[in-house]
Amino acid sequence: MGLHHVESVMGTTVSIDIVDSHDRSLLDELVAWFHHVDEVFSPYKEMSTISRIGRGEVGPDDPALTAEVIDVLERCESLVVETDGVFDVWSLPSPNGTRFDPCGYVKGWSVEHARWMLENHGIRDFCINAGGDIAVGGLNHDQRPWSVGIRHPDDPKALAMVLRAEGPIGIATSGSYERGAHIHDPRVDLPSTELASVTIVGPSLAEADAFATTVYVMGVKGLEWLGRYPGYSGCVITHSDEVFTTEGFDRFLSR
Amino acid sequence: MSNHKNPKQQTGGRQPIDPLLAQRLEQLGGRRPTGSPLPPPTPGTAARSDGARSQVATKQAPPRPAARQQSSAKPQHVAVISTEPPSKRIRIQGTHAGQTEKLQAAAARAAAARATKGGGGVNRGKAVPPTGRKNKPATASKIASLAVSIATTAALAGLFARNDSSTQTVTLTGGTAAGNGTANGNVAGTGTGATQSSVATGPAGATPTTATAAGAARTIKDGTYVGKTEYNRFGAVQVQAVYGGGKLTDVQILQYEDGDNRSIRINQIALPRLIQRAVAAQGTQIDGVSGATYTTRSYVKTLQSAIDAAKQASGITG
Repeated sequence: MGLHHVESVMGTTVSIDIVDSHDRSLLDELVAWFHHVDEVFSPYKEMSTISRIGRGEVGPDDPALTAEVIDVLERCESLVVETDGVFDVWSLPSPNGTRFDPCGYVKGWSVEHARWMLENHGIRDFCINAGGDIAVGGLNHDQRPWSVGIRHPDDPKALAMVLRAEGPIGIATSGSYERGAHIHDPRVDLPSTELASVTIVGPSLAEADAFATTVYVMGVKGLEWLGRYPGYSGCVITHSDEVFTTEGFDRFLSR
Repeated sequence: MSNHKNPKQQTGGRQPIDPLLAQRLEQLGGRRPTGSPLPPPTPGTAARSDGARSQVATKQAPPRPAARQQSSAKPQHVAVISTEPPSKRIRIQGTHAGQTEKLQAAAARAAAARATKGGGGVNRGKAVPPTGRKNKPATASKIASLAVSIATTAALAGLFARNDSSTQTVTLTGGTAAGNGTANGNVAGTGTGATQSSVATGPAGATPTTATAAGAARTIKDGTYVGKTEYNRFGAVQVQAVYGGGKLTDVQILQYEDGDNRSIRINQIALPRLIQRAVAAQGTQIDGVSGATYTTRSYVKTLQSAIDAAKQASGITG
């Protein structure tokens, strides 16, 4: 039956399913990785690199700027441009009191990295779920495409839809239902309200995560913006229960 | 801590930090030690103090490949064409009004010229052999430029950004037989009679030129003219042109697809139907739930029971 593990880390629950291995050291490695990400990138930890950057304590030559931190920061920087300022981690109210919060990218990115770690070990069939940001590889325990439910925005006990996805693929959903309105529109400095939830499916979960946040802020028309990224498709649910999908999304919907 | 290497980074010495990012850090107050000066900021990004945001947002940074698996570097194309889905509406921008008028006049002239020449016969949507698209008779190519400029004006440039100078065509055809392989089209909507036909070819960002087909100016009848679906190596494109008062007032995209099965056509599905489908599709197991903070198995189980209840209530067995 492979491996299954649930870890409480990064302020959420990370569950790891590995189908084609019984090597528990894989789990240890992944769990250590997520705790490492928590230490470095958590805005809740006062001495995390992210909190230090937010307070302006990190200069361009600071040793805290490791390759992975730079990778995240530079991608966030280019996303500011690509999203025309919609996805702007540099102007988000952060839990640490600063205006710098890259969490909208880091969660998906950390799972994407974990996926890379598994693939590097030759693991093919797996599912990593970090608080609803999901990266899957290959097939599930039944040797069928992974079956991923998308939460109903109004009802935590119900699913709005089920996606069938054969890995490698990343699935990220942004919505306002958890912890209140937590998606912020930096352009107006207010929480966004048009959409109830946005789900993005694509090859990289890091990107999908950021795109979900972006489309959420952009509203329905954000789906057209998404068109510029090959391989990514999306679905939005409005507060009036309308569902809009890009055409590429339909092939993931179970019928 | 450092034993977790990022897949994309080389081990060893630290990479040079992006100047923009360095500036950002400086802006936040992070000071670099003396003796390690930053490279001079690139033009256009310098002098950022409090107005930094707008400058960052307008800087033309090359987008990083979004899909890491994608080996071939496809050109990035801007496909933002609408603000009111699902009807994809493209308004000709007021800022280009002068240019638009010029184009409209040119379109009218071109249409008139063809109307006199072609006898005004309406050609209803004959299939165009793919090879025919490469032939570009003089008139067509002129009108082509015209259509390109209309497109440019209407922020449609993204459509043509992938042009590889071989087969990219977009037709705005009103139905006049134009005597070449590229301009056959369907007439739909309210347009009748001799109308306009134009074919877009040419590279992205082609300088708008004025079609100079001779002939007396004739007013194009008001109406909506649907272009034939055209295919390029990225997929299908179809637009329609709206005329009012003899002028081109609107270009609407009816269809626009490109590679990878992706598209900016947006479908609307009724949520209850979707949910019903989801319920019906669920056998016994959901492997994960996206959009849920609680993703433990117990959560999934709870969810499952809710699904089961829903099934029962809906009279679905199994």
